[in-house]
Amino acid sequence: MIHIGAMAKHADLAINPILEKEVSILCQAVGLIGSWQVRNIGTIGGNLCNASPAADSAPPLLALDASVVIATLKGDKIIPITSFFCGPAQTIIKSNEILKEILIKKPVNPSAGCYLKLRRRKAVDISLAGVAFQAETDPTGKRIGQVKIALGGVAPTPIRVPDAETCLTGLFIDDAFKKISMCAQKAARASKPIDDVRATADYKRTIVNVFVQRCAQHVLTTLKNQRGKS
Amino acid sequence: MKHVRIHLVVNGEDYSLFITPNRVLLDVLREDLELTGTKEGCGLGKCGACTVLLDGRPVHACLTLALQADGCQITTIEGIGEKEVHPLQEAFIDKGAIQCGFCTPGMINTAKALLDANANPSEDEIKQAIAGNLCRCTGYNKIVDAIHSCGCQSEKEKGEVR
Repeated sequence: MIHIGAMAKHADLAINPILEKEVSILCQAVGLIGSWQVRNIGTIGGNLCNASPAADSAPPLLALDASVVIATLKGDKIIPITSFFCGPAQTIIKSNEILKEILIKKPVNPSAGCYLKLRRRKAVDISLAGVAFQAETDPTGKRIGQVKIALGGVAPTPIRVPDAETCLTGLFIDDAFKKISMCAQKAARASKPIDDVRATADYKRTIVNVFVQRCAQHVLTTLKNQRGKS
Repeated sequence: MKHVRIHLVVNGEDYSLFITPNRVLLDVLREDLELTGTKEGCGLGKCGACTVLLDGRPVHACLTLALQADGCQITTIEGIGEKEVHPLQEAFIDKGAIQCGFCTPGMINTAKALLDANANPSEDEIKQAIAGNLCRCTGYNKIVDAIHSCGCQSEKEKGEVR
C-alpha cells in the first residue's frame, strides 16, 4: 500500500521514484497542475478538498481506486475516493473533519497508465477535460485484468465510466486494440459536460472520445511492449 | 487578530517578526523588511512576478503566508548578485532580456532555481520552468536565450574547476 500525506506537494509527488515506478499516472497528472511555483506550494490534499470538477489529481486517483483517510473526532475513517466528491466544491468531509492521507494499492500485475489534459494554454491553465486511463493485466500478462477510466472537468464531479471500462476488461491485449473506439464512445456518452466560457459541452464530449482513444492506444501499447520484453 | 512570532532567514540574514497570521510573504518582505525588489503583479499566483525562493524552490510570495515560511531560508532578488552581478543577471543584460524589468526579479529567481537543479537545461526545460513567469515586454526568446547561455557557461565554469 502506498500512503500519501495530504500535505504532500505536487512538485514532490511528480518526481517521487516510488510513485513513478508503481503509479506513474499520478505523477503525470500532478506535474501538469499550475506552474512550478504553484506545484511547490500546492498540496494533493488541497487539490482534492477544493473539489474542483477539473482537479487534475482526482481522475488518476479514481482510476487507481484510491481511498482517503479522514480524521474525525471519533477516529480515522477510510473512504473510497469514488464516494469522496459530492458536487462542485463539495466533498463528504464535515466541518470538524480533515483529510489526512491518500491510500493507493500497488498494482500486482504489469500495469500502465496515461493522463491527458486539454487546456487552452500549454501551462498554468485549468483542465477543459482530463482523461485518466489505468490498466493492469491478469496474472498471465496476456489479458487485460482490469481497466479503469476516470474523467475530469466533464461532470459535476470527477467520474468513473464503468460502461467504457467493461468494453476492454478480460480481452487479450491484441484484441483490446479493436475495441478502443467503442470504449471511447461509451466514455463520451457517460460524460455530462456543460457549456461554459471555456468550451461547449459538445466539444468537451468529443475531446473525451479522442483522449480515451489516445490514452488506450498508449497504455495498451505499453502493456504489449512490457510483455514483449519479459 | 492575534499576532504570532516567526523567524525568517532572508538572503542569509535572520529576522524575528511579530505579525498577524493572515499576512502574505510578499507584504512582509516589501513592507516590513523593505525588500522591494520582489514585485507584486497580479497578486493571484498567475504572473510569477513575486517569485522568491523558499528553501531553494520557487514559490509565489503573494500566495504564501509568511507563517508558512517560518523557519525557512528565503532568497529574494536582493540576495542574488549581492556583491557582484550574478552571471544570470549579466546574461539578461547581454541578451536584452530586460525591458521594463518588472518580471525580471521573478524570472531570475525561477531561472536560478532551475540552474541550481539542472546546470545545463535544454530550451524545452527552460520554457517549462518559466511557464509561470509572464513577461509582457521583450517576449520570451531573449529570456530563454539568456538562461540558456548561462546554463552553458556554468557548465564550462564547472569544467574549469575540475
